[in-house]
Amino acid sequence: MTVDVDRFTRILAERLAAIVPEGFHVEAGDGMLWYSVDGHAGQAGSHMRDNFGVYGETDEENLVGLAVQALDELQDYVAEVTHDPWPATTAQPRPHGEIRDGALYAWYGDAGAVVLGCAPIPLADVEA
Amino acid sequence: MIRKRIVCLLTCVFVVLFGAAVPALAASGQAQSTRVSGHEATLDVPGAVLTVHFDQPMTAAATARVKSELARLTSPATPSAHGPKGAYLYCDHLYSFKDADGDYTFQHRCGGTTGPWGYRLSTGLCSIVISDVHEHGMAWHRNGKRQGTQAQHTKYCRYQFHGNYNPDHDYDFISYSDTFTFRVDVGGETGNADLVITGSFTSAGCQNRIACGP
Repeated sequence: MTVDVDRFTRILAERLAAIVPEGFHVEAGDGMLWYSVDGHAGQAGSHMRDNFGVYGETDEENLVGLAVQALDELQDYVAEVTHDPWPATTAQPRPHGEIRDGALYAWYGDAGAVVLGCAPIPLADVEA
Repeated sequence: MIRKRIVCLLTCVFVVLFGAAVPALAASGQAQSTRVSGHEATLDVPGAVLTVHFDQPMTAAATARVKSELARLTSPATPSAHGPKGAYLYCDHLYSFKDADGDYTFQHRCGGTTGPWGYRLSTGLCSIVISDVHEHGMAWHRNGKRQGTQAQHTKYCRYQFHGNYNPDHDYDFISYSDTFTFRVDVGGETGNADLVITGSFTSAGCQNRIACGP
């Protein structure tokens, strides 16, 4: 497959925006994912376009790598603003991703104990 | 004619030798230089370069003021330490490398898979910063292979910027570079500044506690 990274970034932004706590925002722009929160000046952003290619040989490996990177950096942003672990309450669950049944799955927690997950992204939706 | 050629040859040898000596000094951590001219000022310490592009060309008086302000910024903080340059940084130790611009920290748990790092701009540098600081994101290589550039952040000046080299195993060789962009007021002259920090190290394991230090 050949991936449209900017389209993937836009879809991932929608998926992440759906799971963040109230007041937080995730948006796509300039090959990046941007994280912000109401009433807070600082923002953070994950490099998507620039990092496509560093997570493996195949496009599938890179999609998983980018998704895990975004989950990790979003988690850091939310936890720092709220001063609490997120999305769990006692410790930071690790971000994971995998491709299964023609779709990308991304979540926090172990495979057998998902704490919070995104709606899957069909690979067909991110093909160039 | 022959004498002219000899003089030319000696001149060339001097230029080549002197030209090679300057970066060698810088790399050894002994050099710190401040240059101010026209629209630009550069403060260069091993492992970090601060460049200021002023909004307007400076008069001679303004240049003198800027030089004085930058001297105040770096004095008495002639760096006794600087970013790592190929050093062995042993696991289960917290390392700190301070210079006039800021403080780079690194640690790695023995047998662990990640290497948390931090960077905080110095109080001296923050005394001339008049905006938020935009961090471009830590770019890094692991064992010569480029890794994913880490997150961008826009924060206040004394924020503890941080991130994680992931993966980072015992004896991985890490090289890094990050850029911080902000507005400054140096002696009444305003401009845009870029601070670039760079370094490299072996994220060393520890087979012998005595050799690794306390």
